[in-house]
Amino acid sequence: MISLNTTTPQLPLIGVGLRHIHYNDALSARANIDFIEVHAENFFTEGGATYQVITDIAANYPISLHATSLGLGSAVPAPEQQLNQLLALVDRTDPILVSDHACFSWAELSSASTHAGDLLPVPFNEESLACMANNVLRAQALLKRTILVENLSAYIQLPGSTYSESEFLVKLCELTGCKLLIDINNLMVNATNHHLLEPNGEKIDTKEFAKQWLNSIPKNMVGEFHLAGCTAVPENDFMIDDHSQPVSDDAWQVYKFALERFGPVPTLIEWDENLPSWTTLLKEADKARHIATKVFSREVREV
Amino acid sequence: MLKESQSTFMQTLYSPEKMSQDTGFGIYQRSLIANAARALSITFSTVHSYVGNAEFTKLVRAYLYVYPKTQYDWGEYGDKFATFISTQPVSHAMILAEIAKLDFACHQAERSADIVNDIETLSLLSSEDPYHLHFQFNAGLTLLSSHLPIDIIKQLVSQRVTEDKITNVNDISNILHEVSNTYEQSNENKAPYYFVIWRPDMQANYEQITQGEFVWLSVLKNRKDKVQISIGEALDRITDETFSLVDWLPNAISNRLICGITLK
Repeated sequence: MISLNTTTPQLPLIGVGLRHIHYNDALSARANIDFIEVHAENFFTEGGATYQVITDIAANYPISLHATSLGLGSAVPAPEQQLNQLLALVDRTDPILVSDHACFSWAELSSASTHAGDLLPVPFNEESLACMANNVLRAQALLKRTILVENLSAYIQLPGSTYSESEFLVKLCELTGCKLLIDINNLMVNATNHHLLEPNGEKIDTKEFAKQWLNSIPKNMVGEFHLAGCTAVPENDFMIDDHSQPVSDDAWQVYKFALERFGPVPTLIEWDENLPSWTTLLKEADKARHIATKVFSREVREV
Repeated sequence: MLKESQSTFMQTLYSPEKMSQDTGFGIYQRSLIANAARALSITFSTVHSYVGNAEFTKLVRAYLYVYPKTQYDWGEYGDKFATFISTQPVSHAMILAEIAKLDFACHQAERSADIVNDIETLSLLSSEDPYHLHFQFNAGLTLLSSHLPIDIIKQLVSQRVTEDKITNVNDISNILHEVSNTYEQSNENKAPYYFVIWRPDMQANYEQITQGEFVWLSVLKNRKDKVQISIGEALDRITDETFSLVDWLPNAISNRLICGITLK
């Protein structure tokens, strides 16, 4: 006799990113999602409407805090106050996940610590690795938890890399115990732009690139997937990761591959520009759940 | 070496003369401007609505290169934007600069820490020594002075926009031109206008106040050894005979400018 547990697939937690126009939708009725991700800096206020929103959201949904400004690869480390504000938000919302990016955002400009307001790429070498590892360890020590570090979409290739991106990130995980937030769309964007970044670069198969990249990551190092879509561009223009479209068919296929490789990893739908209705956003989450159900039901049957 | 190369990257990012149109680096430069314009359009929402997105982005771009972002939170960026606008070759720069001061104060008030309303403590006023009593102000209380009646200007523009169904910035510019004729040119030697900004609930309020009230609130907001001064001490310092605590207090309570009294 087969028990119920052996036939019920374990599905990943599926969430959506929360943006301002959806605050009321998210709060008016509990949506069929497992968590909500917010950009941490949008809720650093000490009071007022946004403070109330995050309090209400956290009371209704598990939260993932996605920071965008620590600049974990910055040689000029983030100010103590910034980490303390993130800590206060962590204490207030008790998130299931906390993440930021494998980028630099802080640097000295005319002797002042200056912020780029963006996620800037780092070269993949020993010096960057040591710097990023220090910053990740500092954040983890203060937050008293493991954080996730997200791969970037990058529009320039900095000189001085001695590792591939995936080798670099794996080493970062080994040094710090952090896990990876793999943004599948970032992989696709980097693959699409590959020929514009490499000298005499040729176009590559984006899905194959993404799958190879994923295959180079150990199975236990992944803590979350991000899925998004971006605006199509003409052949020799840079594709920009603008999070303005539904997830592409290619990205869904790579997502299926990723689930097969890494198991039921929490998955988030991001949509930041050209925002759709809340219902459309939730439908994207349903698609992710549908794919995961197919992947893991099949695995259960195969067992 | 990493520190230097990141510093060089940042320098190029913030250099208008090195603006790149067709390379990957240009994506970061344009993204910085777009992110800043989006953030400041929230902080300075009135200014943004008066000049339109194109002109506003031009102002933000110029501002970014003079005042790079040193805060990690875009919500805190823009503290010198009002003064900066006044120096720019934009129509009605002086009016926009004054409106920007109010926008920033309101935005900061809306981000300030919540204050617990404890109005029952006001009864302490009748029983305790005023030298041991301190007003508890509502969230985000800020004071502002301006050579223009910015509250009236905002109200006038808003009224005209609604009545005349104005949707384009050229028409708003015409209204500002009229405002400029009315107030700027006739106001050279006039006393400034005073304002108080505070947040009774979720939205910031602002109100024009008298010079006496401005001085009174300035004195009360003053901190001696990190402690707000007492009501008794504040009264001792007020020499302006036009200010009356008896007149001010009921209004301050009903407007929820103050939300309690502490006894120390």
